[in-house]
Amino acid sequence: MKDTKILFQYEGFFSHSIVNKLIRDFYEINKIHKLPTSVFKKMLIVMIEILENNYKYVQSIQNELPEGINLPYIKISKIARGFEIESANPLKIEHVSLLENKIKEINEYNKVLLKEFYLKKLLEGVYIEKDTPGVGLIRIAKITHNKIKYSFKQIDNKFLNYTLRIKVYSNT
Amino acid sequence: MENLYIEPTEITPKIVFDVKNKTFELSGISRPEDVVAFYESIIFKIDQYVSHLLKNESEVNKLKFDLNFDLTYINSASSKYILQILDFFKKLSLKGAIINCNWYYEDLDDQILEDGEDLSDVIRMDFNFIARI
Repeated sequence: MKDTKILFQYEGFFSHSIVNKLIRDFYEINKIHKLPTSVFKKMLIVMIEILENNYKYVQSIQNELPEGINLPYIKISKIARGFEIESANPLKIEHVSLLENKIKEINEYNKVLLKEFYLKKLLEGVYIEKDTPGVGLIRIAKITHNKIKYSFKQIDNKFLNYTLRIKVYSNT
Repeated sequence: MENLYIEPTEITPKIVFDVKNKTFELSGISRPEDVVAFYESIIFKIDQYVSHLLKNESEVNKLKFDLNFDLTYINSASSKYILQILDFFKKLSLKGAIINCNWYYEDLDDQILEDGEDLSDVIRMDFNFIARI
């Protein structure tokens, strides 16, 4: 696209230390671009939630991944009215419907309902066994005020490639 | 309970619980690699301490705690554990203790302000939101 400029990209399997490095790199990029604090913080939250989800999930299925699979990536681009954060990772086909239903539910809500949904899920998460409340995607939609764009591309009969695109506009 | 002091790192917050002065501080960045391992022992100690105080219910209304949150980043996994910490102090407030919860934020950082507002809504406790200019 004519108006798109890539600010930042990384391709490869993520780990916590790589995520830390990418965050430090993003701070350095911000020193050059001097984004408004609120835009920078939104992008940082989106980036971290995406990367943490991505690497924790991929680590959980790492031993099952076929050879030669597309590597996970993250890419941040400048677009006409703001920025787009795009990421991809392999996903087991058996996990698709759970994820897709979750995204569809999030995308159905307006700003007010999304906040209510987020608070409800945070509250439910306080004393559940799971170590995280599982609100990363809801948080992303809530702070960006944008629908979550996603796609799946089948790799084989067990895996597909899951791509996520989040827009952060400069004026919201 | 002994005082609690945890040094901050690039990814974990500073935590100070001064038992004698009844002040609790959580500041910096909270996105530990293993969020359970990081918060588990803190939660356990605060739980024990609050349970001990609640055994002497008639004295609880004489207690006053200052909670100071001065965070620059919280991941969603950490919010669960921060809510658990707040919930312990809320138990004391329901028995008459005064819990003064201060939530500091950089004036331009509306995200950390929003995080505080969300936690306050979820736990149903009033926070004092204090902007750093």
